[in-house]
Amino acid sequence: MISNKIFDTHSHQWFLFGRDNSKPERIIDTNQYLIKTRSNALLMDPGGIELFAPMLASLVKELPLEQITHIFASHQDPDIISSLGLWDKTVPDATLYSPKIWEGFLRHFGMEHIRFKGIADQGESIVIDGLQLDFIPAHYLHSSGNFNVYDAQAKILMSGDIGAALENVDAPIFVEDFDHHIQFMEGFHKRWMPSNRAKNDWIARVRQLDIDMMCPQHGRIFKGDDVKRFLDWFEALEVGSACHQIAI
Amino acid sequence: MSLVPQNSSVFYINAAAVAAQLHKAKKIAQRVMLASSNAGVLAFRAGQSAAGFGALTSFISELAKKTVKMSDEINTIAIDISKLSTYSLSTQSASEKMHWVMKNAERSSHNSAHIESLVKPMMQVDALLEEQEMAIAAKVRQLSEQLSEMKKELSSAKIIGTMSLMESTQAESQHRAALADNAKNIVDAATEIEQHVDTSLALMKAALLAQKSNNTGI
Ligand SMILES: [Fe+2]
Ligand SMILES: [Fe+2]
Repeated sequence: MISNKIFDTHSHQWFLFGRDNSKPERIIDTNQYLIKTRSNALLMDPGGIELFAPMLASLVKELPLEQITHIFASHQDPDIISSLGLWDKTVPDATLYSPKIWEGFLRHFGMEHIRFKGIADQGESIVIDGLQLDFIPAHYLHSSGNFNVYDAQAKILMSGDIGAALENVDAPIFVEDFDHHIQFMEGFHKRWMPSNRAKNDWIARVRQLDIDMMCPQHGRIFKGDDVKRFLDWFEALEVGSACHQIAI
Repeated sequence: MSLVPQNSSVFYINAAAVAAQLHKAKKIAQRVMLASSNAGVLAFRAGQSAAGFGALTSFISELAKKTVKMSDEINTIAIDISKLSTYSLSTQSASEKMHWVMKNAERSSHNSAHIESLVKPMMQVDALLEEQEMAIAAKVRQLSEQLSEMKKELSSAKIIGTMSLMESTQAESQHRAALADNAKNIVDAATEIEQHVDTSLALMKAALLAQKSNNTGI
């Protein structure tokens, strides 16, 4: 698993962990993100059970485990958070932030020690060592309760499954040619994103944010103008339309 | 570094199988309860000549009741074991993964600058695992004892069944066949229940053996 510092200032750093070529075949490759502040850290979409050990090995290179005081799960999917029962035994004092509606479901992954903090539908902000982080609503994209994390200081949006691309594990970290990248995103967004209304609602909200980097949970990071390109492309895309069993 | 002790999670399948065996045993014992009350009626009708038989049916009825109760108790223990070993399976998984990370960090030249921060959670998980294993071991002992106890009751039931069979020959001829049939059914039922108990004991033994070979790292 590679570990990459994608943002660095004196106050805080963003890390990307991913491209795990040790993962078993047929398991979707995922990006895990970490924001490290002075004495705390937020681990975002920590991943599935299969990824726990490589993640743990990567994390101890960057920070002591007890510094992970906050965990975020954008939604309930197994590739996002099925490792919860293992984190529960590793960082028992942490707090998990996740959509309120998923609490009863997430507990099925095992959560005896970690504290659950449900994020209300309209979103919330938290402050970690003086750094404000906003949970931006992204419901139905694709999960019925779903959030992004926005860091206004770093101008980074962690967008969960939005912007996901299915590529080989050796793919570069950043989108280099947007038009070429579309082929890796199109099928995923058509199939997994169910609602044009939810999509447009999210686009309107995100267009108001100042974003330098948009970081999805699968595939590559969008930088600079590619963020705007993505929003335009996504806006024009007819989602909820890739299931051939349904006449559309 | 020594290998992580493997835990008792081998029990979770076998304990569930024991619960199923006990459920079957209970069903048979319930059938015996019904049969023994029928036998009581039969003996009453057969009158003085079946007085010996009648006395024995009340013993059988008691034993069947006891068997139903014991089946329930053992079943509860078996389900507890299955649950506990499922929990310990997840603890074991956490422990194994932590040990893997620790070992690789020690081996590799990469700088795992904060690897010592893993020591505390790893020790906590290993302690939890040991605690869970001890709880399972205690339950397994309890289960085996209760199963052996049940076997004793069953051999009494078999003896009384055989005695009833002999008593049935004393009854007047028109009642003899029905009484003998009843007595045979009781012996058969006790034998059947005994088989389920033996299977349960074998399942527990197999799980214990599997655990032992895990612990010695085979
Ligand atoms: Fe998802
Ligand atoms: Fe995903």
